Amino acid sequence: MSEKILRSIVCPGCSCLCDDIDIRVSGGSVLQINNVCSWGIGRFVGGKKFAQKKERKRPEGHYISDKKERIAVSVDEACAKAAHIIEKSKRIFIYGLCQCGNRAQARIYEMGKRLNATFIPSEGPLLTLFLKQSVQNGFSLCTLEEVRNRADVVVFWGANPIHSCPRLVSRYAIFARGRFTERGEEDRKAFIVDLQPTELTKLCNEVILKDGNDLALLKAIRKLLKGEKPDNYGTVKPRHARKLAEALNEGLYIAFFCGRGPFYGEEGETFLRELIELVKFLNREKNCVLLPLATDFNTVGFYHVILRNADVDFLKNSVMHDVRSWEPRTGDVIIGLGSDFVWFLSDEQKRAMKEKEVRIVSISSYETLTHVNSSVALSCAMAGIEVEDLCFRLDSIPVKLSAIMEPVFPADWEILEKLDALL
Amino acid sequence: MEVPKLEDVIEFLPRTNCQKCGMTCAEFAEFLISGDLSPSDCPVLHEPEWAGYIEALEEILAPLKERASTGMVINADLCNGCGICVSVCEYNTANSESGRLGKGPQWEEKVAIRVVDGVLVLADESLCTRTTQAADKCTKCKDHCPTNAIDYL
Ligand code: SF4
Ligand code: SF4
Ligand code: SF4
Ligand code: SF4
Repeated sequence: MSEKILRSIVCPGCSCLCDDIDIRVSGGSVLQINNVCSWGIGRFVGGKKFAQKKERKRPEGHYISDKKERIAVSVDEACAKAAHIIEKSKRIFIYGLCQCGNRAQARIYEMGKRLNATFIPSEGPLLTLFLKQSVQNGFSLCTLEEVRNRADVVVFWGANPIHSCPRLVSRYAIFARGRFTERGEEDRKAFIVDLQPTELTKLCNEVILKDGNDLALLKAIRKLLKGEKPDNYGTVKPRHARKLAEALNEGLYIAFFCGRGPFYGEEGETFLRELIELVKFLNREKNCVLLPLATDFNTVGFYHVILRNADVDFLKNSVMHDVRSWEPRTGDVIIGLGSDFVWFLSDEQKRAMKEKEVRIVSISSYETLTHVNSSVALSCAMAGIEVEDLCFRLDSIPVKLSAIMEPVFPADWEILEKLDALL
Repeated sequence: MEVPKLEDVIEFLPRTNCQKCGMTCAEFAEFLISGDLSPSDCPVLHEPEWAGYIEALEEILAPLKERASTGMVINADLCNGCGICVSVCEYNTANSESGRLGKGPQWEEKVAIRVVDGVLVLADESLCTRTTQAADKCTKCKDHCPTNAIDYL
């Protein structure tokens, strides 16, 4: 079988969507992948995200399960059963939405809206708040290339890119050289604001928030920037806060990458409003941008569907921002799209799900805990590996995913089309 | 892969400093790590009461076999393929156009180090500037690695 090298392939491993992946293939097999990180390789060769040496099991077919057994069926039979369950349900929840292509996202948005479903994006705790604020207040975004070319101050707030997007710092944010950052890291000041030192601490200035009071630090920085003396630095060392404020003051192009860290507490929304105020304040005299650091490879794609439809009411009425707020009831059905949501439920929710006999319809490329425990398991091809699709990078840039291997199962959007036609 | 430490190696030597090898046990251990001597060069370890120690030392020193002539050892278990070292590498920066801009080196591009299948590899050891530097050798990749996956021995 002749070998060939597929060049500049996009990696659907995380929201960085690296487009410099070169793959040597022969027949249907991948022989070597250059430039992909250890997360991405898992996606291409079927390893687990945090332990890529462990194989991630793929399903062997589509299944219908009752309490006793799991029966392999055709995709049409599985869709018919799923439609029946959905029709008989009292409330429909759609969870996941971030690890699939944009075609499936657009299709399930239409379908779910018609059925009056509640959407729970897996990265909702971060992105739903950001989208709400972008509609209400607006803030400046830019492309990752712009960060590479121009940013001289980069702040990772409550985010560890080494864990969420492993190549972000080498490709764009800290080490890459660009038009006005020709010396790479020497032309930039990088800060990491977190609860504890992380892998990046040795390469960045650190600001440690021992008690997680992000808001106190933000307020102190605002005061320092105005030339006032803060009366409260929270648990942050004053000299660390002053160093950050000094860099923000001196920088000409500042990029904030914000992760989930500050949104675990009660004050998440207030923090984001304050952060946007800081970005606006800095923008009066320089450039300052704010990018939510999504992790899953197409989290941003789902929010684009909402924006494309200019559906502000949908955001208010049909999106639950954290799956932990869901209280299972009899008659509930959960449609899991590209996500292993059972993992993210509290023990209490899991117990309630069992008690109330909540049914699961799972659409997944992997044999996850959710897929195995679902009433209907619809197995789909992997976007960006087995089927082409479109997705959106963390900075909202649309990126085309290619197919490098033959699929065994239909694409998720094809399955949704079949299901939709039955409802 | 565990890179052996001097203390671990000394632990498996007789520690009598008898100097039958021409030096002390600690100096002998340093030569074991540098690769200039091997455990069987200690005559005492051939005596019956030290049976098994030569094999144990060889096991401890095994990771060093993967050491490049530049002294570089990459711990594939720690490396997550973030590519920071590739993008700051002294040779790569001067010679790879795409690397300078943060992209991974192209397939045919000649570079000292690159990430293959999710981990760092020495693509062409002869290009690493350490091979030509007598002193003040380059340590950029090691210094920048967030997971401490690179070492020189
Ligand atoms: S950083 Fe993300 S997109 Fe880039 S290679 Fe790694 S997993 Fe793939
Ligand atoms: S011969 Fe062996 S025991 Fe004696 S000093 Fe050398 S290493 Fe130590
Ligand atoms: S030692 Fe220097 S030249 Fe050699 S691989 Fe590391 S960074 Fe590159
Ligand atoms: S050796 Fe370190 S810096 Fe280089 S790719 Fe691996 S983890 Fe990243």
